[in-house]
Amino acid sequence: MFATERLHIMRRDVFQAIADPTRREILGMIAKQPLNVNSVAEQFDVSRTAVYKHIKILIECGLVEVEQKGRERYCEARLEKLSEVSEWVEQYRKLWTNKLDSLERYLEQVQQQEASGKSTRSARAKRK
Amino acid sequence: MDTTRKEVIVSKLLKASRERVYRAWTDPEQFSKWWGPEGYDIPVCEFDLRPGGALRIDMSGAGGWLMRMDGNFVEVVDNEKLVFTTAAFPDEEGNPTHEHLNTILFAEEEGGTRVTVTVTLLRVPEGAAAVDGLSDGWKSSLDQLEQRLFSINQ
Repeated sequence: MFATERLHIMRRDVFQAIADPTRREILGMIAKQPLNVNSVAEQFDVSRTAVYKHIKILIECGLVEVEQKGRERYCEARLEKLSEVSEWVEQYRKLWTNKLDSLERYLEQVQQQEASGKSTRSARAKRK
Repeated sequence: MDTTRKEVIVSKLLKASRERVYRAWTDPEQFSKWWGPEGYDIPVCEFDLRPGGALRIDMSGAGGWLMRMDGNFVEVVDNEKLVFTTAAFPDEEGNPTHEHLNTILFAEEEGGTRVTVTVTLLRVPEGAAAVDGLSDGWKSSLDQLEQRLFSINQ
């Protein structure tokens, strides 16, 4: 559920990449076979620059690789990265296990402090 | 796989009384002492502890990183149960991309108190479901390839 750096980073890559419908469409197109950058751009009504920008984000997120073949640049999907989305549950399990461990440490610490406080008090009471 | 509704259950036996564990959860001052991972602060922690009441937890980290989390209590049973929603990770427009329903159960057990956390993901970022379709598509083309290889071998 909650913020960890890990989830934060995760959202910045794969989740950001798939949040956009155009990027999802690009991924769908090149999932079956690599396509050259221009043929990808031709499939969309938006400007080439806009499509290139989407491809760039996909590359940055590790979902697409571009390979130079002769004079053409081919986009290839790296869908393994998408498993991060499926591993969602595992991420949360880890997160919550850490939280409960942290709660345990906190409770131990507080109870130790109280115990030592009590013993100091009772020692003082005895001295009186 | 259904990514729109998922559940995570985590449970732990804590060596402390049920009242104490419940207080550590519901007293903002205590809560902020254990909630954040090391290196993070909780500058704002507010609980309006009643059904419908709001909760807010701000977490700050190095380099001015700040994350605000808002939610509402759904059910509050003293020393027994807390149910609340949370929303976090705002997108560019400031709308939260994640929503969860969290149920925390406090049960007396030999040796202390068992805390059981159930997190139900009510909403995950847009596109996560589409990814499933994409992965399935990818898998089915691999299946096809396998079938083809199989028929060649025969």
